[in-house]
Amino acid sequence: MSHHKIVFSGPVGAGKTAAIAAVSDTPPISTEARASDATRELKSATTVAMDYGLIRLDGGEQIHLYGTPGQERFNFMWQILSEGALGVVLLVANHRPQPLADLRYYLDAFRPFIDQTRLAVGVTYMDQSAEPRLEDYHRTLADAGMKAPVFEVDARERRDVALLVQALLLSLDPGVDTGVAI
Amino acid sequence: MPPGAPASGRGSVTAGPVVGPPLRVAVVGMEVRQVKTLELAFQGPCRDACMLVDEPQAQACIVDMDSYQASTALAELRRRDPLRPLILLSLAPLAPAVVASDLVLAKPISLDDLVARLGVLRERVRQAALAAAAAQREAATVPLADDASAMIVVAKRIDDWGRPAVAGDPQARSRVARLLDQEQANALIGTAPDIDPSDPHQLVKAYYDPSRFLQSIVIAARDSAHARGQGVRIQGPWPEIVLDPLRGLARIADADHRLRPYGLQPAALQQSRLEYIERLVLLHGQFRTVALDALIWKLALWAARGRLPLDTPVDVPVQLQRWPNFTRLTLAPGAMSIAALWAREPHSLIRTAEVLNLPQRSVFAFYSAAAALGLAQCRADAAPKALASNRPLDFAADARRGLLGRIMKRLNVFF
Repeated sequence: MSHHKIVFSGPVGAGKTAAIAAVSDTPPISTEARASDATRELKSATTVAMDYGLIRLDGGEQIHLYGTPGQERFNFMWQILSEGALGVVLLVANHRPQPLADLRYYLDAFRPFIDQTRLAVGVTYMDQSAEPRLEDYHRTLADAGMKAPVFEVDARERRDVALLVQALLLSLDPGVDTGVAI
Repeated sequence: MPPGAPASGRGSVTAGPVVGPPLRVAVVGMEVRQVKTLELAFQGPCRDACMLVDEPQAQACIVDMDSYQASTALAELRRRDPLRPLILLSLAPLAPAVVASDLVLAKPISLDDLVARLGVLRERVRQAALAAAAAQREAATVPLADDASAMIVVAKRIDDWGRPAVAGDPQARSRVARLLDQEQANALIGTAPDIDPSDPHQLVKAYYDPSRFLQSIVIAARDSAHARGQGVRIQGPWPEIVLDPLRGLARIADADHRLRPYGLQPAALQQSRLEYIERLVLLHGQFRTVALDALIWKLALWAARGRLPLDTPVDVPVQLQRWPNFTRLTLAPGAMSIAALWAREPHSLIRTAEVLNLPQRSVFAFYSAAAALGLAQCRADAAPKALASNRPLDFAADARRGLLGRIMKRLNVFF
C-alpha cells in the first residue's frame, strides 16, 4: 500500500495544527506542550515535535499530513519531515510583527525541497491585520524567483485549507483531473 | 424562508406525531443556506416527519422556481418521475401550465405553510402506498391496469422506507452532485459550445463588451474614487453599492447575489449615478460588506458568461500576473487548473482549453474575471511552451497524476 505525505510548515501560531485538523480524516495527533520560551507570548501551548493527520483515499492509499514544529530550534526536523513529500503548504500569520520576513525565512529553509516539488502559501489572520497584502507576498515570492498560489486562509475552515492543498497539487500538475466534468 | 424564522409564527403549525418513516424530500435550485435552514426546520418544527435526501431517493421535491434554469430542472424532474409530488417556490405567480398538479408556495415562505404543505405531500404519498399495496394484493388474480402499474412503481419505492436513505448509494449522490454542479456551472460560465477560431462567424459569438455591463461601472467608480481618496456610492436600478477602494471593500444594500440580474444584462449606463462620499460609516439600512475584488470578479463572471472581453486575441499567450485569491472568490469550473497552467507558463486561450481538456467557455470565463482584476493579460511576447499537439501535457507520470487526482476528489471543494 502506498503512502504519501504533504508537509505543513510556518512560524509559531500560524495555524498549522488547526489546518491539519481541518482536512484530516482522523483525529489529528498533536505533540503540543506548554510553551516555555518566547512562544509563550503568542500561545500557551505549541507543537514541539510535529502534528500529524491523515487523508484516506479509496483503495487504501493514505496521505500523511505532517506539521513541522514552529520554533526554529526544531528546524533540524523540517528536512526529515519533508523528505519525499509531495509538496509544502506554508502558513504565515499576518498578525505577526514581520510576516514577509517569516515568508523569506521559510522559503530559504525549504528552498531545496521547493525547487524539487511545489509550494502553496496560506496567509492567516488577515482579519486581524490587513497588511501586508497578498500582493506583497506575491512580490516577495517573485523576488525569490517563485510564482506560487497565495490565499487568504482561515486555518480552521476546511474549505480554505482544502483549496490551498488543491492549489498545491495543481501546481505540481495542472492537468490533474479535478473531477470537474464541465 | 428567512433564516431563524420562528417555528410558530402564526397558528403554530407543526407536524403532528410522526408515524412511520420520514418523507424523503430533495431540494432543487436552493442555495446552501436555505437548504441548511430547511434541514433545521425538518429536525425542529417538522419533528423529523421529513428528511433531506438526494434527488434519486426522494419521494417529493421542493423546487426553487426563481433559480437559474429552474424550468429545465422542473421538466427533467417530471420526466424522471411523473408521479412524484413537487412543491414549487416562487416570487411571482406561476402559469397554470407550469404548476400542473403540483403545490405552489409564494415567497417569502412561511415555515408554517411549508410544514403544512409537506404534511399534505406526506399524506399523498401514504395514500399512494396504500393504493399500491391494494393493487399488489389484487395483482395475483386481476390483470393490472396502467394506473395500477404506476402505483406499484410508487409502492416499490415506498418499500425502502425503513432503510437509511442517502448513505447507501454514494454513486447516486455523486450523480446528483454532478447535476447540481452542472447547474451551478452553467450559471457562471453559460452553455456556449466551443468555437472554431478560424471561423469569424463563430469567433464573434465568443465576445462581450464589458463597457456595457455593471462590471465596468463598478470598476470605473472604483478607479475614480481611489484617485480621489474617497468612497463612492453607485446608484441605479440595482441594490445600492458603496465602494471603499482604499480598504478594498464594497457594501451592498442586499445580498450580493441579488445583483446577478443586473450583472448579467447590459446595464442602463445612463441610469447609474455616482456620489462620492467622505464618511463611509454613514450608511443607512442593512448593507452587507464584501471584498471589492470578489464583487468585481463575480460581476465579470456574470457579464461574460463564458465569453471574452472584446478584442481579446484567442491565439496569443496569456500571462498570469499572480494566482487569484481563490479562497475568497467565486470558483468557476476549471479556474484553479487554468491558473496553475498559466502560472507555469503562458498559453493561448484556445490552447489552454485543449491542454486541460476543458470547454473553451471555462477558459474564457476565467480569463474575463482575472482580466477584470488586472491579473491576466494576453501578451504576444509571452512565449508558449512547445507542446506535442494531440496529447495531454506530460506534467507528471500517469501514476502520480492518478494519485493527485484522487486526493483532489477526496478534498472535494470543486464543483
